[in-house]
Amino acid sequence: MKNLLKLIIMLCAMMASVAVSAQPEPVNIPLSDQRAGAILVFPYYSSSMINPATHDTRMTISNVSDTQQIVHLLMIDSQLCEEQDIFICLNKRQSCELLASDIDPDVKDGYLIAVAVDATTGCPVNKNVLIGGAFLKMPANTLHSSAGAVSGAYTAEAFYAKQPIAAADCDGITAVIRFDGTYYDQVGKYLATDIQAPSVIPGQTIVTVGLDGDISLGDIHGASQSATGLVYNSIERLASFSRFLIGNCMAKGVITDTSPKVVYRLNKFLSGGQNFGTMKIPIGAGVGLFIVPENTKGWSGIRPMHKLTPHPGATLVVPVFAPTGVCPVP
Amino acid sequence: MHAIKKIACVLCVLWAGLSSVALAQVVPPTGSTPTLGPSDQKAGSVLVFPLVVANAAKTADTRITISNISSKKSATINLYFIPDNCMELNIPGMFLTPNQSITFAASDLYPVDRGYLIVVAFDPTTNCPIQNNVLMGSAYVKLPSGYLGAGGRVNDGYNAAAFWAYQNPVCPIAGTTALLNFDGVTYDKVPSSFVAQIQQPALSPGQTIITAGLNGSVETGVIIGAATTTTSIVRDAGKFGPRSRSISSLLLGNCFGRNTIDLHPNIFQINDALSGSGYGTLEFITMGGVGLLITPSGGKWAGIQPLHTVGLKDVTLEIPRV
Repeated sequence: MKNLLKLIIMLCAMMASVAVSAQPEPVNIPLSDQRAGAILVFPYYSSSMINPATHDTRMTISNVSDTQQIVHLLMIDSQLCEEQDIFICLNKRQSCELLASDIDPDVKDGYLIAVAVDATTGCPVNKNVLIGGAFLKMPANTLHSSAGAVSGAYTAEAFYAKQPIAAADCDGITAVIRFDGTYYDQVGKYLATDIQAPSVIPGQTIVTVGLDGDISLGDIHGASQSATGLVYNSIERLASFSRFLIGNCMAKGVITDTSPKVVYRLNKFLSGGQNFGTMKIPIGAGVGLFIVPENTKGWSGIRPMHKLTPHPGATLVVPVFAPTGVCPVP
Repeated sequence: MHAIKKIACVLCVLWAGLSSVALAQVVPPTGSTPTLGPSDQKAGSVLVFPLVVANAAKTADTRITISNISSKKSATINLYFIPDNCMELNIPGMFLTPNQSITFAASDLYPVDRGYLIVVAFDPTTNCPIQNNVLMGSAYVKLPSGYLGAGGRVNDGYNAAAFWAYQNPVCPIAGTTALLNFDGVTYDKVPSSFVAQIQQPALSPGQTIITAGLNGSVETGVIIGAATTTTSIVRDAGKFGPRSRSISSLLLGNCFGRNTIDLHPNIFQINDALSGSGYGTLEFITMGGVGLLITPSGGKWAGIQPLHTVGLKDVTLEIPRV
């Protein structure tokens, strides 16, 4: 009996050390939602045609340069990962407001990718002149059955293009965007956020979007959890979980007592001290938001997920069209 | 009549000239190796929470969380709270073991109304700032209706701006202060040119720009970087043709800048400039800091966003070694 106990303790120690040693240390990730870039990603929008006054998303894209820029907007529906697209022309220092209820009505969960493209060929260009911001509002019980209303803002992830894409990467039908740190900033791989116990703040939701694959085929992935996730409580006790973020182009995980499923269940696990903890989640390749619906404590809002490490080289294939007549001739 | 036309033309040219002078400085970075600035999505050795508010009734409050995101390294941190009178309040020597987080409400720690918080990774042995890029931070803010002078309540969150340290700062053994060189060599550079995407104040009352200065000395309370240094430009979205106005004194103050746009003396011009589309951008320059755009409820949209950065600056901040 004593030997059995010893064995169990040893196994526990080994498991804990494996989990700890597998965790990456943070690196200096250039990707940011605070600077200008050649590609913007708005990780989440949602809309309702019936009640746009309480359920909608307002996205604004600005050209902060003194030259005209054409932008290819790709809207991805999370259900089937279908894309629909449109071009906009931003003159120097011009902004453009997009209401989800207008451009993509009645989409429950979607995300938007804005790519600076060449006015003649439609191929992506290294013009780091775009910034973006969004406001999101949703009525109670929309994000999740137990969630309050959502009201908050975020800024779009901006990918800096360091050089023009290779000629071979744009054939006039599709273009390959290389998020490898050589052409464009790398995307996130290991994400983190602080969370509160779901009994205290119900409906906390993590949304991740994939930026790897082929948009033209609807084959987009990277949003799902790719390995064991970890949650630490306020006294640094560790619990692991799996299958919390599931999806292809988009994954949405609502934090409840049983999701993610951890030992003791999440409320009890986080109950020591101040009912909070830190969650670390590896995903395929993408970016994400942490959405906290309104609650009785008053601590609510939308924040970008922290990124601990980047994916070494995700690639995203996007459709290419010549944007004829999009911009008036100067 | 002819003379009036001439004067009007001269004024227009002057106006355009002023605008272009200011615009020449607010330009996006280019090139293959952009200098990295702080980010609210990465870890760092210095964190800045640009807005911390609290009142005795706790109707205005901020919930701050600071995490050591490393699974291997511990972190010792010093917290410097800078209220808007620039006289810092210091809480020395918190220790975070690997993966440990701390959370607190500002109302429990700081008996002041508003300001910002700087968190610095320290070496507990030498009492010097060190390279320890394991810190990340987040905050939730709640403000009652009317707190900003216009607009409704505010409930949203933001992530702290994290400055990456590339090496240990130079820190003499003797001395009571240390220098944080935000020069891209020791720490990330500091934002100095900003763009905020704003709505017409008449449609969205209470929009407020907050800036936290990181240039000067926390030790002496002489900190600059929050105020605008030149004419700012408010620019309509351009849906119905370009339309812009230059405005002076957008952000006043030394260490902490706060401007509720509705209360600006030039509010008429700002509303007029944005009357075409109902929204647009605000471009401005400071001597180095980080900031937020707060949009209270009351209009159609509400929330807190970090300011977009289009220019960085080398600055130095002196901090006390506690």
